[in-house]
Amino acid sequence: MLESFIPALYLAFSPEVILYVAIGVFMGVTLGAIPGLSGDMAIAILLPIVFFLEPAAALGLLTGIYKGGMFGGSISAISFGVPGTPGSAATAIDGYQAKLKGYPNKALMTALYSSVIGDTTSDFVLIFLALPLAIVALTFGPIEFFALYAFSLLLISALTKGKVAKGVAMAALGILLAMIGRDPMGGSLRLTFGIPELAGGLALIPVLVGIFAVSELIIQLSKAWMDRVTRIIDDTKQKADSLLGDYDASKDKLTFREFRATMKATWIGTTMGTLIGALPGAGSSLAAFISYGLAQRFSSNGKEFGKGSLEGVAAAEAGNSATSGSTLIPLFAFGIPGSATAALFGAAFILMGMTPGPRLIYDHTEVIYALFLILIYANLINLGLSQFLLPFYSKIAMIKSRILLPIVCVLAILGTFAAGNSVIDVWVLLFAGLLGVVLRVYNFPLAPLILGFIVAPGAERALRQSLLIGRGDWMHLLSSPIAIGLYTVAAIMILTFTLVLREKK
Amino acid sequence: MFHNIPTRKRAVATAVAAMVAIAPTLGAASPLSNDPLRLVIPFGPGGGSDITARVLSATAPEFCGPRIDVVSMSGAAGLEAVNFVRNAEPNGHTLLVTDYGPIVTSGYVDDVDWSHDDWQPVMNFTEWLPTVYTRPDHPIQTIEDWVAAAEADPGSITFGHASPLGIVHLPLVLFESATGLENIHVPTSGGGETRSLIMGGHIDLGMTLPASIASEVAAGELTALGVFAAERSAALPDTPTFREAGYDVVLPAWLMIIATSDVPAETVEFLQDCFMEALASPTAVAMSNRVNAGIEPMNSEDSTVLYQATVESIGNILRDIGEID
Amino acid sequence: MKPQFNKLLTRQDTYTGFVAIAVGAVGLLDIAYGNWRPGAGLGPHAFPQLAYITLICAGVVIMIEAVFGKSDEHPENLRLVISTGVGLVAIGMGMFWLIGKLGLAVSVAITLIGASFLLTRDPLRHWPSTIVVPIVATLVIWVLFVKLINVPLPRGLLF
Repeated sequence: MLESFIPALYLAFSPEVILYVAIGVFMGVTLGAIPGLSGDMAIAILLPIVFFLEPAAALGLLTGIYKGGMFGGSISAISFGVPGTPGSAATAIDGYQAKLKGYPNKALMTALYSSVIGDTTSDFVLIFLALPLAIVALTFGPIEFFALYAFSLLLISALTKGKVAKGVAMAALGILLAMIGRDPMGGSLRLTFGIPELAGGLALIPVLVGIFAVSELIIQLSKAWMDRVTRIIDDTKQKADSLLGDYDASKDKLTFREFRATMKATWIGTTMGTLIGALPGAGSSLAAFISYGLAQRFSSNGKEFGKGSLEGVAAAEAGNSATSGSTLIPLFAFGIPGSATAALFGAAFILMGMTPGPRLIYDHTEVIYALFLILIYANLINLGLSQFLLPFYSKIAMIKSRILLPIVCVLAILGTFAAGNSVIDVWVLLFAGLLGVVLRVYNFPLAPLILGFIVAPGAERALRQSLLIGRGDWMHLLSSPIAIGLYTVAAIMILTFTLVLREKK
Repeated sequence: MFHNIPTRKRAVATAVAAMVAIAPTLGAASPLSNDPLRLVIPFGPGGGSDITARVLSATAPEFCGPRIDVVSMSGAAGLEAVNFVRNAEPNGHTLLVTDYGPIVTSGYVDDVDWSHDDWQPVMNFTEWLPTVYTRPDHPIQTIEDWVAAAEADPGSITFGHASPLGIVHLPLVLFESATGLENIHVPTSGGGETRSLIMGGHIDLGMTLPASIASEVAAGELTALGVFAAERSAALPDTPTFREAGYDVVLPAWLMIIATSDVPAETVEFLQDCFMEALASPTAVAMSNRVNAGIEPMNSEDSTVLYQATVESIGNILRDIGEID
Repeated sequence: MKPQFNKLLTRQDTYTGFVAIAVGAVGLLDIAYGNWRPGAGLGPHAFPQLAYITLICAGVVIMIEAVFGKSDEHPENLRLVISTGVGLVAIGMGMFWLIGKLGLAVSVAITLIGASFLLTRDPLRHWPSTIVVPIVATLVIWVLFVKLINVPLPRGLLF
């Protein structure tokens, strides 16, 4: 082991590789900040580069992009309430409120630190615990996955405080939106209203960016339009102006005390993100929302969530970023790509002539050790470079909204198009934005809708697979101890939360 | 869609040239302009067709002239890619790289405004041989085991496959209609899920393509039962075909470059020649071996014969199971 | 009973609840009488059905809550926000149509300059922000999407 570790050190820390990692992080942060564009897409575009670069340099570049993109999405999420990547949608909930309250920098720093902590932990788990975790992940079959999805839906419906009924209605709407298109099990068309372009269903990026980002943009645009036509400045406008006028950058610095206060949320996010990331097919946005929900439940300041809580930012961002290392676990352990990103890394390995799977580490020890080292130190580069870049990006965010908003809109439209090369995605984006606005003005919470949308396809597939395997016997769903455990935990959590909430009232 | 760093200068030069001049500059013989070629794949990035197409996009510019981009368009279950190629100018610059699913099967079962005759193959990369596999500690280890178990207790064996009527599902349908066996079909989200369900012991059998399991089969971590092909797969030399076992079920999946039929014949011929030349080059052969793509190029004429045969056989299967009349 | 009934008519959430119930009911009717193909095991209609039923239940609860005191306020600036939304959708579609005619750079520049003229009072006096910034942004967008990513957009006449 040691004899290949030394050359791996030289490989990983050669100036060329470090430079490529830095370039990757820069690209990732910048592209991730553009709504619709994500690290995945940049990796897909740059994939052929592995034909031309040394393996370590190519992997360094791809790793840098990936990690940068993970954090980059939260920049626009916090600055404009417009999540740059699907994973950062949960970050936008509290991050944007924090910005409106006048501490964007604190929120950005919290996001950066929790992202790096989550990511680094997840990388260590990948390096040292890949095999045991992968074996646990394999025990997740349809029955267990259905229990997990049911667990997350229950957790989320409990997440909306006060207007539970509206939250549940939104979750149902999200499920319905996810059902559009070809039924993945039977092959028949559902809810396409005779539009053949909807046969493939609605893609995640346009729906998510539309519902969260475009609707926010529309509301801000309408405010900008109002400023244009009315000379009478209303109270809120005055307040917002004075806020920016009084914005004191020296006060908007994250103190150590505040940082420490977010640690619990960061660790909840890190744990959930790492575990969910290791499950094939679950995804980073689900991890972010579950982490957010759990952190809210376990926080002593749960009421502050949704109003600019730094803990909320930390939990969501840690949960999102902590999937980044562990999502590669099934790939390294069994050659199973568990997510879109893992599939792209798998393709990169194949293009380099390395077959993903358990043999990878034995057949290409040096390169893989070098990759492990890169995975770790890329986080430090991400931390340093992002701290250097953030002031510049914050300045961009300070450009007058009447000028900036159209640019962000155009970027969102083109970015969404580029993510799937699909014109339909652009229409979906715009109409999802319209739907998001209508729901916002009628005070419907948007998070449950997105959760329903994310969870429904997996939940439906898992349930129908379970019933096929169990020959239609519903008791088959309870034939797994993991599933029973998940249902029990869900029941206990809901019971305690309702009891605790009663007592507080 | 792709932009390789080493070719940046050339790409910019090409693009600038394309902007000022419309006339091609690459020799009088080339019917292509200097605009990039686009190989459109109707799947997400990172899969087998993507990787194979990239071998061509990395090697062919030298022989064909313009830069080659691989564009992944998985929207509307691949139909968006098909429509994009169909609506593009018929100058040979926009080509589809696909297996028979999005063209042949979709042409039958989906409500599309084109027919199978609106397409002409430019060349064929390879033939993928659908392979049935399981875990090594499963009681079923051979085709005979499977048939015996299915006859003893019909409808008891769970069989995982990707989306219904796809290239790793139709062979199972064909096999069942040939033998009268019954299995429980469990659709999954793709090869990765099928494999984790098999390795986790949640289902019995699954179907995939040889390249994705070859190294695990060699290492004894998975067992390949048999391939639905006329001859054994080069990647799985020890795995028998179903024909060897006495079941004449053969349904390989080709991966073709397809143009619309209104692309001029000399353009198709030029593309075929330069693609074949590029794939025969030592760099391409080395790359193909490295990525395990098993590329065995087949010219336009032979590909067309294969295409038409597939259109017929898929039509028969679909009529058989009542998907179409 | 009378005041309760009045509440029912004036409260905003009565209507949102009603819409939820209506959508659910129409969906269930569609499943009952529409062209749904049964599948193996649990059919393709099971999840939509569950979602519709949930929607109806949630709608009923929203309406009940509206009557017994809990209701969200009437939205402010409803018409403005919705018309901005419709406007944005129209502009976005228009821009995409224009890209096919004129090319990406020209269409984006027109869209951005047009939008900043719409949103700025006395736009010509603020020419650095209404003309220069959009053009710079267009250049950046063009380099990113056309030169680096080479998105497969329909090619226009100009840039």
